[in-house]
Amino acid sequence: MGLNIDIQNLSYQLPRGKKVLNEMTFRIAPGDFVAVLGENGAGKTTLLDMIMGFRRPTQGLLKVQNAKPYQDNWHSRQEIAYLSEKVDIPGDWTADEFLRFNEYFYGHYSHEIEAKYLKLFRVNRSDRLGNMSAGEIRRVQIVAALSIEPELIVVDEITAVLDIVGRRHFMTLLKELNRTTGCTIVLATNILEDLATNITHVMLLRHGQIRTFEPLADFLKGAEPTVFSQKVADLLEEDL
Amino acid sequence: MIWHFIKRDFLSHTVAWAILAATTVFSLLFFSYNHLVYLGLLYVYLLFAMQPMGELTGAKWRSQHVMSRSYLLALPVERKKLFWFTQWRALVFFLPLIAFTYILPNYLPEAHRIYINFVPKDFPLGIYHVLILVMVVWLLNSMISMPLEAERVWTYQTQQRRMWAYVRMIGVFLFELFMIILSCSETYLYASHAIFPLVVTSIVAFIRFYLTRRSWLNSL
Repeated sequence: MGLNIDIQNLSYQLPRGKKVLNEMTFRIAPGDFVAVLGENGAGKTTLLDMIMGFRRPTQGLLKVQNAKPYQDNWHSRQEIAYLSEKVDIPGDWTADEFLRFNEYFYGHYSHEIEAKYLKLFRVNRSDRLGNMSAGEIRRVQIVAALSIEPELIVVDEITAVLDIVGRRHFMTLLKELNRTTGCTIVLATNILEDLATNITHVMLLRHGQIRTFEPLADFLKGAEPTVFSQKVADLLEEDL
Repeated sequence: MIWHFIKRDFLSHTVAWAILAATTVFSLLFFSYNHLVYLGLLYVYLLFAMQPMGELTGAKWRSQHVMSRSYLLALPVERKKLFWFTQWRALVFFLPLIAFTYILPNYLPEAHRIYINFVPKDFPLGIYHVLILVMVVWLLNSMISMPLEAERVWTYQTQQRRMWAYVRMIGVFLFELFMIILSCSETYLYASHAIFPLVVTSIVAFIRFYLTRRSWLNSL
């Protein structure tokens, strides 16, 4: 069963800087697969940082499974897989060294799942991360993150560096996990390809506010999933 | 859990530890007759202790060599606990320096005074040992908090603000260093109360520790 996310009047202002998120209110139910979309600077990464508890709201309330992540709610992080383009691992570690380091922190880490994903993403345990491409390093992180059998998966724009096959595998895997385990997924991305066939909800951000947040079916209004990218682009352009 | 981090640190710095051990053995075997070698070793141990400091808090920005702070913060570990782990992990790298300075008074020349009015042998060793530990606490917290402060400086918007923030950061560090050196000089040069440098350094170290903790808890 996935985790829920409740957000009420959430605002975040950078120290001595601009307001990045502005009075957001929404609820992500357990089992939702939400794509967070928006132009650069819309607040996608900041929103995900706040869900992870990295940043403290300047106003409003944010709860993940009824606990405030910014109050060092580290217990619930046992259930959360975090995948971000910001995450780097020392290049002199091998993939296996990283997996073993990561495994230590999670009580329900599954070696069976790890072996399955290593094969799926064609990751060689003994390869040094420093010798891998950005996409290959992301694959190792995906294996590490998803082997903890998460209840919530937070993905911050990592699909951009994956190749076509890797991205398809990743999106299919997320969909499969979402449908079979009921985990909640929040995915921030600028790559719209493969989204419409996998997600359940669309969230469109604009200047730190929610422009649209609705189930995919409502968003498409009976149209084919193939028009999804066009529709998102039209909506974003409409506001300019 | 702390051992998991320390073990990983050791594996990542095995070569540095080996070089340090070889340097120590080589220096003491062939140059122990010259007291200047002790000074050289002190610098080597100090450099060794300071070299991993940037890694311990994790990198805010993209790096091929350092683990991201985002990864560390996403781990199911209490952030306050991570701060203490950082302290212990840093302390491990200071162990050679601590050990060396602990035994150093036994090997310094006794017959003549190496400072104006200071005879190492006469210095109360209990106070000396605590003073070394307190100095290490100050130094390692300075080394942890300065990169965290620098991150904040880099995110300031205007050049003028950045400049002032840099000046303030370096100024505070130099002021702390000045206070510690002054308190020690007082004892070394004029043989005043040995407790004096300990009191001053403890106050400075405590303030630095508090500021480092605050920086860490508010960092991203």
